[in-house]
Amino acid sequence: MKWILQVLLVMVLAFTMELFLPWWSVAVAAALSALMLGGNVYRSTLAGLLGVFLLWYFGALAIQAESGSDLAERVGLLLPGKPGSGGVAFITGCVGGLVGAFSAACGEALRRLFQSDRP
Amino acid sequence: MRFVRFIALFLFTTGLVWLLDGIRHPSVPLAAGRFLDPFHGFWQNMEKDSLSMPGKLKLDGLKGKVTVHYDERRVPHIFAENEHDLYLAQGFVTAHDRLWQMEFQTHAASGRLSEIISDPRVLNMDRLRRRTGMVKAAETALEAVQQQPEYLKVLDAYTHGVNAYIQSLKFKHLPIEYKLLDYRPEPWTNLKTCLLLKMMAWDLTGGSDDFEQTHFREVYGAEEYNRLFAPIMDSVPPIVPRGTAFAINPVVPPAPSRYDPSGVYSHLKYPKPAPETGSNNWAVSGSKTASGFPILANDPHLTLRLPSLWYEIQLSTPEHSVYGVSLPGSPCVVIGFNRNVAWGVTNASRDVLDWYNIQFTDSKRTEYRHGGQNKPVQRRIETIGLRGGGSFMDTVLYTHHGPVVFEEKFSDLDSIGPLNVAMRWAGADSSMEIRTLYLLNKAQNHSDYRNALTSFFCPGQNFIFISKGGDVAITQNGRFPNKWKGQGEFVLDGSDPMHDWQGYIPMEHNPHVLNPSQGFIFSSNQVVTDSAYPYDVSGNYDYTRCRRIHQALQSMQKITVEDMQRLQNDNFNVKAAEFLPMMLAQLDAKQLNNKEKEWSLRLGAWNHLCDPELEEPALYDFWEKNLMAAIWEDDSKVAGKVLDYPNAYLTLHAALRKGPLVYVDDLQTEITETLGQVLTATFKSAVRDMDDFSKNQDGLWPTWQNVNNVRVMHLSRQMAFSYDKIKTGGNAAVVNATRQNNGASWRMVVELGEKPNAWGVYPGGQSGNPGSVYYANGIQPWAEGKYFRLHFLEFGKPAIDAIRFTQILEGNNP
Repeated sequence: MKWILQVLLVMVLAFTMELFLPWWSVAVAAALSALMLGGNVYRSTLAGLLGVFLLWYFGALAIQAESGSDLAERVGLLLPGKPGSGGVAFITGCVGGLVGAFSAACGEALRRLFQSDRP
Repeated sequence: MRFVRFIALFLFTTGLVWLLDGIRHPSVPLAAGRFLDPFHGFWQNMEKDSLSMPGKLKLDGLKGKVTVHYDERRVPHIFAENEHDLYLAQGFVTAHDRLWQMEFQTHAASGRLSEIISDPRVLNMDRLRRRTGMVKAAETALEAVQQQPEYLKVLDAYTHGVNAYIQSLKFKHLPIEYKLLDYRPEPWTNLKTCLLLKMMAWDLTGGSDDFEQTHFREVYGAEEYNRLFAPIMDSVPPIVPRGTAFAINPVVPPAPSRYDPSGVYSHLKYPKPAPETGSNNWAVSGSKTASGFPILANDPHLTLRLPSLWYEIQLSTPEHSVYGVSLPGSPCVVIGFNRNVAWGVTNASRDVLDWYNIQFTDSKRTEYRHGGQNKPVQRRIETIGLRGGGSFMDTVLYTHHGPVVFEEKFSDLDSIGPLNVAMRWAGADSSMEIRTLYLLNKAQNHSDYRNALTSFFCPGQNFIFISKGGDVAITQNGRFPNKWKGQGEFVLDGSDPMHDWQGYIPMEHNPHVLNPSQGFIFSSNQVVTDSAYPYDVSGNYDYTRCRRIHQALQSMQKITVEDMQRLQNDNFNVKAAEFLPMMLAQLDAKQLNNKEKEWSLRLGAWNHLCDPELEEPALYDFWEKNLMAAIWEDDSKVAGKVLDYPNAYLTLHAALRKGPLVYVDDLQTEITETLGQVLTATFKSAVRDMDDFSKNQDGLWPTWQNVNNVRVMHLSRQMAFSYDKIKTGGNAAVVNATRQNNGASWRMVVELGEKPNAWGVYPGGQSGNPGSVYYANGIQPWAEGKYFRLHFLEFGKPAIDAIRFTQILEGNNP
């Protein structure tokens, strides 16, 4: 349960921070979530990965659905393997997820630093 | 231990973010995180309807209120209370739609592309730009404008508007190309506007075949050169109707008694003048139209690009209103109309760029010989910034002729020996083209038009004109060097003062026609006058479109706007109609197999239309290309240098009408080929080319649209943002001169009655954003020969149906 909360926290924090800050704020969001709700390095990493992946993947799909443009398909032609628009959205999610995963792991490691002082 | 793990993870993660946040090395061509982020990256460039803009905006610097109506094709109609606000708003609105293109084109013009693209070929392009003195030319133009506050004000306001937009830009709204190439826009300047206009001048007059012509003359002699290359004067209708007298007292400079240009220039990579593609304009007076009002048509042909070269706009103050196409990066309308006049342009195609051999007196190249004296060399150091840091330094040597473009430090072969060639270009001289545009926008009658033209020096253009009062006029306008016969067709001697340009032909001597008795005037890059005009008019001319247009306009009566639209899209190939029967008659039937015979019959029955779904135009095109190669390529090979040869029309004319043409013989064989043999052999290979085309293109049928492959390429040449295989007709040497990536960059037809009745289309769209529905919405209608009504809105009148969105711009101090 707590893990799902952590995933949601990553998404909410990342979304909110991105309103004011550049893309890399998702890294800070994932790390903060691990600091606040973490406990297990694997779970935290997975939460960071999934949180940012879902936010970016569905964010991209939503824009795609709303827009009248085929730009995502065109961008696909520039990427290796020439994916379609859905593929570009998936790659978008993966890049976000990669950053989310390592950032969350980083946050978890930081959390453990403070834990180590406790008895 | 935990601490070490944290530090390791922290360093790795920040490293990862750093890598994904920018293009850190040419081998990683994408800032993936920054670019893909749905909330700031390219996804934000995907527009829903391209009309989601604020209804009201504060715009620093505006004196009053500006209303911008966007119509159904996103053409802005700007209504300002004064001129300052008008041009400021033009800058703002244009930058909103075209910022990346504006900056990229001026980066290209000033030789600065290496700052954003890391590629040795790009560096070479940048060096050539610097060495042809483009920045210096723009600086000279700006100095001239700065002397005239009236026009400087216009540039200042426009620049202010562009910068107001740049300052308001957040990363997420940056054009996608900035995000893709990972760089940011810099402030706009008046110099950039001048650079853009100079680049346009260079595009139209910067090509040269002087080197290859020098080779030809050296190998075959002056007489042979004149015989083959001299413009045909007797069968083409010139711009000024035949038989017009010129009441001018010319002063033509004396020619030197000897002029024997020579040298080997084959290794110099310099662009040729545009071949047989070109522009048309014509005007018919009320006596020939159904409505009784004059009609003007113009279709300037250029390399087709996305974002489009043109940006449609209406510019209005309470005093005047003009509609037409503008160049993104420059204030005013370039081709257009207002309530009282309409105007358009084609390229004059005259030779205003020459080359001089320079003899330096010492190895340090501080002086050069001229008129028996040593003259000092000026040096200008060009610093080309490189992507990823560092810079490339180039020293450009200047003589009084111009920059020494090619010398030992800038040529592809070192083994040739000393070779120093300076360029003399009319575009390098001080000029005030912006004044002409500004005054044409406000012109009310013929004398306003004539007055406006007096400051347009380069590129030389055929300015066509009609007025509501019923005048039709055309002027071949520009500053053309006053040359002795043959001067500058070959490389000139930079040490002989007689080879210098001896000033310009007085502009009042430029050919001009007003209301000719025939009731129409036109130009299609053909020669300007018959031989009665006393000045040298060497250049690269059209021989085909002019005949078709002349014949059409002469025979037409009760002309309508639709007639003029049809003529702009006319696909009749005059060249094929003239020469094909003669070519087919010389085929040796004994050597043709059944398939080839069948093809020859089909060609004989062809109506000479270059329509997209036909195969005959493709076969004819292959045949002509093979024939040209068979006639000329062996001559270059045997001579050991690249020879210029007459264009296809002149060659066919010489071989089939004048004949026999000795160059038909293949010098690489023992026997002497006849024209019939060469025609037969090249016809057979053309039929093979048709088969090969299908084989090489996955069975794609060799119809004309497939072989011609009309395309509109994005400025970055990325296929992803480009359109190709466009279904449309036309060809070089056809009125609809649509050839591969060349074609009508804007088609406009205007009838000046009570209200202007105007129609237009261009192969692109108003938005420069590939993520907008207005990016390329004009391509399909353009390809089909369709037109949009151009809405000429009245000041203060209520909005019409066509308006989709209205934006109010206001200054900060009410």
